[in-house]
Amino acid sequence: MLSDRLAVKGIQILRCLMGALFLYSALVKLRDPHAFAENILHYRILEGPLVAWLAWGIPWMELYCGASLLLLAPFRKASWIWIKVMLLLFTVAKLSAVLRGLDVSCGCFGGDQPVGWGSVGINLLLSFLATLGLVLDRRRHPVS
Amino acid sequence: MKFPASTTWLAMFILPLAALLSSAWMQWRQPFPEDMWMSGEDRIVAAGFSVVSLPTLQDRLAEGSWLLFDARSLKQYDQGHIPGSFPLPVAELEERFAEYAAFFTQNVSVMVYCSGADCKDALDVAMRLRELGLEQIEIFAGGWEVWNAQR
Repeated sequence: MLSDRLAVKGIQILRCLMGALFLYSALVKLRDPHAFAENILHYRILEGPLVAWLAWGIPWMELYCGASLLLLAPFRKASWIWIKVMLLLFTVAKLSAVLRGLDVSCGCFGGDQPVGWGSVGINLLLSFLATLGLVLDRRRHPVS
Repeated sequence: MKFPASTTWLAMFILPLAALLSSAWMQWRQPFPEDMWMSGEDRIVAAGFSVVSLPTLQDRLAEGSWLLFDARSLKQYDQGHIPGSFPLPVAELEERFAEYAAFFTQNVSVMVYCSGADCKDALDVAMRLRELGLEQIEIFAGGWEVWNAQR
């Protein structure tokens, strides 16, 4: 019983943290889409108008996923899956930048944090937490 | 509360579709400037500056006929820079201009560089130098990246 209650509390905290993190990340990018588009260009993976679609699309996707995680119970599982997918794609992009020796800003939460092994590690940790959230939310369906 | 699997499948499509539509709407409301997708060199040329190649840069440095400025941050300059260049970080332009005032006569020939092909700092510095009245300004578009690669 106690472990059940702890697990429910744990998943609620995890959901709130991840939801808030994605909402914050989205709002920072939406406030300065030009800087985020520049960041995407600096990764030298994509170019041209496709970058414009991503520079607007990624923050909106983060916003919808973060908000669904916090407020829309029926969409939670899909939100966890998409958050996991996004984190994996971000990790691959960062890893490729590190391996190519590019001196780029992460573009994650505004500011000028450089991409490095530490940044890749944080992404892997968040990706693990997203997997944990997906698994726990699947096993238990707490109402709140 | 358990939700039917179909809700999750529906959400799997609705979330990216909503993001896609929002992206389209924002691109229509606030389109990015066309020059955003230009390469670094195209942007330099469009702004009315000439691009310097690596051999030309090396020749000019050997002759000592041109001044070379590094538009990157001081930290990056301290970590490594093209020998003979002076730091002129885009974030500290006004302070540095006072320091270099003696250099900036109308006849002086200046080259500027920054990190590499993607950075815009060299172009920003070049534009500011042009505003100061300098006429002979060229940009080494390859920047520190190209210089460092050929060492």
